[in-house]
Amino acid sequence: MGPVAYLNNAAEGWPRAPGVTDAVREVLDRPPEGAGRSSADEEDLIAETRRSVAAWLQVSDPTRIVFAGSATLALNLGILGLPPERFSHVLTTVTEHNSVLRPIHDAVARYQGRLSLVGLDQAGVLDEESFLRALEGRPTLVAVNHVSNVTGQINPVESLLAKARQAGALTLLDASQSVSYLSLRPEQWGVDLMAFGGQKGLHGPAGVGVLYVSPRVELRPVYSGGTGVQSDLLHQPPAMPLRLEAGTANTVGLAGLRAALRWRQSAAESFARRAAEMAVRLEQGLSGISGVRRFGPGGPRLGVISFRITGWDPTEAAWVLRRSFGVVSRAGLHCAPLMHKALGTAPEGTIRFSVSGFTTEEEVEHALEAVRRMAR
Amino acid sequence: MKPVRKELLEGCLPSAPEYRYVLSEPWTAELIAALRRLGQLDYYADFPRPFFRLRMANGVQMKGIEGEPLCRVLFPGEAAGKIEEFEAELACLAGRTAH
Repeated sequence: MGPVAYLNNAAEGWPRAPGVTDAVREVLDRPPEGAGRSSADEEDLIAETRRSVAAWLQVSDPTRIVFAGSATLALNLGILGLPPERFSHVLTTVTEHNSVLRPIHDAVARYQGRLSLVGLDQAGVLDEESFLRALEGRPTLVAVNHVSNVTGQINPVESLLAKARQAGALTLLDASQSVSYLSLRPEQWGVDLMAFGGQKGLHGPAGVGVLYVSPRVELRPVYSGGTGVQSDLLHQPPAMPLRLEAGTANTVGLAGLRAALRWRQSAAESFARRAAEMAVRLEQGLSGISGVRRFGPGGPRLGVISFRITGWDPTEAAWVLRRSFGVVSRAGLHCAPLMHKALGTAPEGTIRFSVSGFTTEEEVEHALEAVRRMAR
Repeated sequence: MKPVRKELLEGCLPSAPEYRYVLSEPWTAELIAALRRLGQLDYYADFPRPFFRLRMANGVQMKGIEGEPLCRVLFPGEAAGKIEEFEAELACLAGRTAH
């Protein structure tokens, strides 16, 4: 049974953006001539994609844009490439995904540093007062995500990270959930590191991650190997971005990312607006179903809704939604165990619906009807 | 009904061993009804693709969809030692229907 309603866009955006499939196929169908390497005279796909990403983010120097195999790998490049002293005191939040929490935990343990966590306030949003108090402890690295992948809660990262910088910390922004839905201006905001993937809000292919590295930061290469340039060196070339990009590039994925960016720029604000409308419709519908309990705050949020249905284990409910009703969702901890602990939904987690600008009214109504029938 | 293949599933949460069984035939309403003698059966026959869940007295938990030759089976706690017993019950199931 194919999906009738796809509500798992927080994991991977579907359908792919117009032009993505053709762009991917075109690269696969032509002989590889080493884009970005010495013999290619044709338009350099990698360099052009890098320029496109930089222009979109209003980053003045495209060499500060690094490509990786996913947002997780991009975050690992950013975190694990930092010098040990940056882990002497790390401040982060319970809203983070494991792609931030795990490399930070590993590095803090390795370098015997200290980790401070900011939780939620009584309204269920990031506790800003605690965050500001924690800055008095002079953290060396502050990592915050833009939008929770569990509740869709938007963190006020522009002001929080500005204050973190003023306190002397290096700042990291996980933009995995916000990309394409909220404006991202890392250079303007003074963010030091920022990462996202191409497969969520951009509706590009999976397997492409982007890391922005500010000129203030010099990362140690986590990987080293072939680059196609400066091949006489026995160490990774020092210049950005090759300093952080070893091995054959994922030209297939980058072609998809470039196409997704082109589409996104043409789709403008209507895409984000539509997603917001569908989220409201879904949330209002769920609120009207007896036996459904929603988790997370009110207030500014993106289209991610966590809930449970009375009498159903969340993981089983998501399985039944998919198998019996054709509704694709995601259940469990969503790789954000501390957020579920803070919400009181650990260890089972929740069912998560997440919309996109492609989500239709029919999909929303179908999903709501499925939940109604399960809640009876 | 015979298990043709089984795969150990890994989920998001720490859990008891859970297997996905591929079966020799799809679940019919009759086969699902025959599960009642093995334990507590919840059967959602009004779903577009009817869902069933079985909780056996020995702790084994099974779920599946009518029309699919598949089921997922959880073996929590002491039930972890009941895999062979469960597979034998499954094999006997067809013989206990009206066929």
